[in-house]
Order: sequence, then structure tokens, then C-alpha cells
Amino acid sequence: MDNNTLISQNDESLMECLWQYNQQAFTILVERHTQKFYASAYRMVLNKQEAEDIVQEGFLKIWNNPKLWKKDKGAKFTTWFYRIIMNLCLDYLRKGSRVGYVEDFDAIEDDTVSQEKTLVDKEQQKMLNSAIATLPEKQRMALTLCFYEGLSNKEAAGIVGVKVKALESLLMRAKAGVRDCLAREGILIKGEAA
Amino acid sequence: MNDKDLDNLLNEQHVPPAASNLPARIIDAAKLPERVSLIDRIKGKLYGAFLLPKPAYALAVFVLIGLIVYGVTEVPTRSVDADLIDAEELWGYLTDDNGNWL
Repeated sequence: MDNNTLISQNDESLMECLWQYNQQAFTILVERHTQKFYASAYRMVLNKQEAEDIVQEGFLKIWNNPKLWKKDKGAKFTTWFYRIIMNLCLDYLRKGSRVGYVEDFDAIEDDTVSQEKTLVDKEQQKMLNSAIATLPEKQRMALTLCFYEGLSNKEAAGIVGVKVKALESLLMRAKAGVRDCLAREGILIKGEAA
Repeated sequence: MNDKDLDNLLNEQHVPPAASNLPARIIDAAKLPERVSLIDRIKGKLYGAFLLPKPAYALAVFVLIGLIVYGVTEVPTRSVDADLIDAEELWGYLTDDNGNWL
């Protein structure tokens, strides 16, 4: 299968090509999904370097063990890969000393930040990250998968390993937790201040 | 703070862009030869050279072949008369003409 043919393949077909250690198929998957999964990992660990390492580890895991992917189970590649990334994030978060660590926002500031600061200032951004960092890991996963990644509750529940009702509850508690934390820090959202 | 405001605030979460060379880094890392132990390499060679079926399938195939071979092969049998004749011959060697032990 040449490169042009591979590019038009869906993720699941590319995974099948990986069974034969097709480097080109792997390259396409990496280029197609790195940014997306990096963003998810970042929202979980709130650390750029660790998020990059997690995504790299996730991709290398499927490169070295492509048979982990079971076509007959009918799962979408992205849903399946979210599970791998989330598990790696949990491994990271469970390393005691790093729990709750929030990267200093000053250290990651770049040109794009100044544009985004039109809506939320730097201090508020820091507090938002701090509030998310206080959430238990499953609530953080629910928030990342449902709110940020837009996965269906069913898909997210499968990744988190809970029932749909439990997932809904996790999401609700996650939002309530962020709201409470921000309120404690004195963050007022427009409408509330009035 | 109502839900909409909270959602708006959450949507403003800043994610710093990943390093631009991250995909290339991942692809390069995959190109490095995986470190495989000697035993795993030998196993790999062996499994590559022979097709090893799962034990249950192997057993089922052997049983099936056994049944087929048993079914098509004529089992040599001896008649009861032949056994009797042999016994009489043996008796003749062990006794004299009057039937006494030699």
C-alpha cells in the first residue's frame, strides 16, 4: 500500500497496517492525532513536558505492541487510544509527589497567550488550572473527555470504566468542584458580580 | 456562577502548544530498534519458523487423525480355531503319547 493510499485510510485500517509494522501507517497516525491527544494529556496532568512524554509513550506503546488493538471489538481507534493516554496520565498523577502540581503559567506563556487573555486574565487562568488540579482523577477524566473532547457519555464511561450514570455524576461533581474552588479564590464570573 | 458562565470559563483554559517537533520525535523514537532479550529473539525465530497451534486445537486434530486412521486400518485378528490348534500343538510337545508329562 503506497503513501497516498494510506493517507486516505481511516484510523482503524491504519492500525491493521501496524500489525505488519508499517512505519508509514504509524507516521500518519502520529501526525493525525498528536496535537489532539497532547491537549487531553495536558488537561489531565497540567504540565507541558509530561503531556508530551505521555503522548510519545502512548504512541510507542501501540508501535511496539500493535496487537493490543483488537479489531473485532469494534471500538474506534480514538476511543481506544484515549484509554491508553488516560491510563498513562493516571500513572503520572499517582506518583505521589507530583499530584496536584500545576505548571507555572509564566513559564509556558507564548505569543498566543496575549490574544487569549482578552477573555480571561493570567491570574484567572492560573486559578482555573489550580481548581482543576484539585479534582479527583476520575472527575478530571470525566471533565476532559466529555467537556473538552466532546466524547459521548457512553464513550467516556467506557474509558473511565464506570457506568453512564456514574459518569454523569462525575462530570457534575467536577464542575461543582471547579465552581466551588474558584468561588473560594474569589473568582467572579460576569453575571454573578452584578 | 451559572452553568453557562462556568462552561465559558472552562473553555478559556489555556493549553500551551506542543513542541512543533513532537510528531517527528515520536516517529524517530519508533525507528530505534527495540531492545529485545536473547531469549525473546530465539523464541521469535522459533515461532517464526514453526506454526505452533494452540494446545486445544492440536489435541483435537490428533484425536481426529487417530479416529480416521483407526477407522481405515484393518486390525489383524486371529480366529478362535487358530488359537485352539496352537494350544494342541503346544500340548503335544509337553506330553508323551499317553498324555503324561515329559
